Amino acid sequence: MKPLLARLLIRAYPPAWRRRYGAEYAALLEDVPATPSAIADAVGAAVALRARGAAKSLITSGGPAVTIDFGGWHARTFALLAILVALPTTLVLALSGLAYNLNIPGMAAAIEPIQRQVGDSRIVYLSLMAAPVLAFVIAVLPVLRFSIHREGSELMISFAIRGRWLTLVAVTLSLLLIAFFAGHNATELVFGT
Amino acid sequence: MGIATQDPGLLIMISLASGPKHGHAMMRDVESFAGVHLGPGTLYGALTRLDEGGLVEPLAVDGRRQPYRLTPAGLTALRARLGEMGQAVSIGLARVTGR
Repeated sequence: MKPLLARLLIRAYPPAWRRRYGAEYAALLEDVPATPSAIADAVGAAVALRARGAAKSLITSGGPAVTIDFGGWHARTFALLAILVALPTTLVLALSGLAYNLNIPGMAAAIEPIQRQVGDSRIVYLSLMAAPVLAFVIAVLPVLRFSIHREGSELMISFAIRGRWLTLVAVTLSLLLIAFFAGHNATELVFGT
Repeated sequence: MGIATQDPGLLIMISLASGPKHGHAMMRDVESFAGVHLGPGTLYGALTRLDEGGLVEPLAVDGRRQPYRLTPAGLTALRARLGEMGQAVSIGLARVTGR
């Protein structure tokens, strides 16, 4: 398989395991053909090793038992993806605002065909509403760090967020869009407009 | 080989009993003597357990490939395991032939 695919698969493995076996495992992955079964087998083993590590540290006292750390999963790439997902909704709302709130000449003519499309298709409307939620999830997951560990006889749950500025942009954008839709729907519900 | 195919660790140890091998060579060897295709993840998952258990050990790196060999403890464990299996097989065979 291609070195890039091998590197991606290895990222699914626990960091300590990667440090010990990563280089030699990469050489093996590059030696085998990239069949669906080989890829599924590599992913399955990564999940099993992570689960095994979690179970082991839960049994032994101290140390994190369950850690879901997406920090290494290219948070910047995820943030860009989140912005891309939220982009259509942002554009539709921005154009609508320019046309109807700021009354910029010619803008209404430009937005009307898009609004007709949105009004005619429930799927398009729901997709535009769901996109900010999806964008929020995509942006936030890579920077979350969630762990359960044992301290003496107590089971501790800890939660941390490792921020990146592009993630902040994506999260802010998606939250603003979610807030807009929530406000819009609440207004419709209360005032029926 | 039905019992052994359920245990990739055993297949790896049998493969290493003929001499040190790296991952890809183990995969080919296991396929040739057991007819079992070990996926790369299955192989390294089992190899990790054997390495942590002190049953196999890495040798000097050959290019990018990492050969492994059985440790004396691994050889003892393999002998014991195969002995148990052999005993089960002979008892089983005796019982079915006696029917």
